[in-house]
Amino acid sequence: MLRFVIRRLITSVLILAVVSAVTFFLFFAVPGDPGRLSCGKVCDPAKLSEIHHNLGLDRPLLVQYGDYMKGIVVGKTVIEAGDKLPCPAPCFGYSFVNHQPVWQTFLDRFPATASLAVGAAILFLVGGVALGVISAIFRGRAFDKLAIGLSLTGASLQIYFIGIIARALFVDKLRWLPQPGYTPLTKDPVAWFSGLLLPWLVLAFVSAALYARLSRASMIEALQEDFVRTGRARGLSARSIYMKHAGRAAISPVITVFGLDLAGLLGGAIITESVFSIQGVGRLAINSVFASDLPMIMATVLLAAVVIVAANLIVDIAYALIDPRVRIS
Amino acid sequence: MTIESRSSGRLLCTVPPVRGGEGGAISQLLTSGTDSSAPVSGQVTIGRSPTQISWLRFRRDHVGMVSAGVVLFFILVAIFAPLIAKVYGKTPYITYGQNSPGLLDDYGFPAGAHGGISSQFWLGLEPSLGRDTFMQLVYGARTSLLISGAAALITTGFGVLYGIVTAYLGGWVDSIGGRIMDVVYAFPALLFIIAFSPVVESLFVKPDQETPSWLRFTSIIFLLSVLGWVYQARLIRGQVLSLREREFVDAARMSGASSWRIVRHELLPNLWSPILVTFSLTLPALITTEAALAFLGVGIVEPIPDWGRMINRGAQVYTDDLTYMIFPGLALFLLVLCFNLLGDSVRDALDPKSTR
Repeated sequence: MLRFVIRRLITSVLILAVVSAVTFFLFFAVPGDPGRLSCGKVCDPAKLSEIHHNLGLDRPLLVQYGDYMKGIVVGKTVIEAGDKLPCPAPCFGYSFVNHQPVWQTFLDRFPATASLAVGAAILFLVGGVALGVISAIFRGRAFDKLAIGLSLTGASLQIYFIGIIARALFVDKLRWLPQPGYTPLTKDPVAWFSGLLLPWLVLAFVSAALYARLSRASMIEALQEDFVRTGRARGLSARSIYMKHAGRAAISPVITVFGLDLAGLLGGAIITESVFSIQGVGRLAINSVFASDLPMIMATVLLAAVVIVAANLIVDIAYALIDPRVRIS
Repeated sequence: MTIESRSSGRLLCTVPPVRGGEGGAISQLLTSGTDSSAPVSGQVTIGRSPTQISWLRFRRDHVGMVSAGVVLFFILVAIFAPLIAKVYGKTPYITYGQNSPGLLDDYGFPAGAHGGISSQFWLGLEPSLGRDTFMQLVYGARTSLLISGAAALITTGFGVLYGIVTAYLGGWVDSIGGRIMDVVYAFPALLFIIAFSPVVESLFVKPDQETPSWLRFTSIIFLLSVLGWVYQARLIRGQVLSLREREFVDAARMSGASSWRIVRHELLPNLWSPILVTFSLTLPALITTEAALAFLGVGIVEPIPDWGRMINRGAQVYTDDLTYMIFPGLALFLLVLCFNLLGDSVRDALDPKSTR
């Protein structure tokens, strides 16, 4: 098991190295001058060449990439507006827009995205899997058909459509919920909860559908297995059969999809945060694209890649823990 | 995607449930009337090809047939949009609300209830610009289906090719191919598309020029395809890896068939069902991504009608005029729902063993 984990860790680091290199060269090798973006509206040639020098843009691309990676691993000193500023590891440079360290801005925005994701994930995992398993047990009955219809509707709805409809209905018309938004948990737990409740519910409704469909299908498959029949013949309780035997066999596809969802977290956050005006990492990413804030764009792409690779790694390890056959290959 | 297409929930039960996957397949074959070992007296036994059996099975699936009808309707609307415009007598570009006073109120919102729906403007008017919602919706179907259809063809085509080549050749080609897929897989797709759409355009257009609309279309199709193929490639690769070891491929190789012949005549016929299934499930995913890009303001730009951008415009004014975003939202929902249902039906028709 340890060997399996180490091997997968090494592969993950290699993948990230390639992703970072490809991203770096794509952004820095295309026409368009990053120095110009940093320079601002009033920009004379002398200032531009100084900025070029400070950003290291006058050096070969490969050296620039090495420098960038070095900054992430051990930190470096950044020259910003004539001053030498420390940039401790992980250093992604300074933003062209707010002239703060990119990592600091990222850290400031992360709690909002994390709150949104974790709360919604708990809701849709529990709700989706429960719905799927119950409808598998009552296969073909009214509850099953209702659950299928509901999950199919959820899966085909878009967060940027249903989110705004829900906002118009529950916030503006019925006034059951306050305007969605993010308040730090440490500052005001009640405001944190009530501000995020609507985004959580909408996100859960849209995402739970997939989990319901998936866990239902794999539960039905698992219930037809020989070991379930054997368990029934031996007189095991229904609870033990559903929860322990069939449930365990049915859970692995759910884990895979959850891993994929974790990986797509930032992509989803961009849309969700736009719909509910929450200032998280997703908003940060798209705003920096609009503002051509290159260091920030680079950092968000890289960090999103880290999240994806880490999610895949966790899924693989979870798989190996659940299913011993995976470890051998 | 591969996982989802492997085992997804039963949507609506149209075929009576048969216990056990294999038994289901056999009884289906028997009821379809192929090669029945004990022919019922008086009944003529007809031989049917697997394609015919699948088609029959699909025809019996009411949900699938209805979804196919709706999808076809959307496609026809997209193709005949200019004809509809002629009959309806309006275009999606003219700002009716601004041209004739009285249609919009002082704040730029459509006068009259429900977004200005009237016998003249069937689905009302766009806030502030006053364009016709119905026409924008009809032409928006064009944008949506054109982009997603092209991207689905490219991703499926390239993915299938990539999957077959890496898995069939095996060895170092497969290892390198696999590593490349791992890397592509690690890119955050939506963020990548958003971050790179300005870059792709800057390659072809000078900063002071306006981006031509065909370039906008191509760049979105390109960006949707450049990372999207990896799901199809992964699925097809898995299929080919297992097919390659089968006896009939060995037999073909032994009798001296060329690689091309093996791929063309031995592998491809067995790959059509997974290809068709992933294609029909990729399309709705691409439709929603395209709309999401437009919603975020990095997709298709004015004045080309687009559902995602319509929803975005409606979302800005949803407290005053909710109607404007309802129609594109519902159209998107209906199209995606029917594509998803259709994809499930296609899978069921092609794969009798699938227990939905």
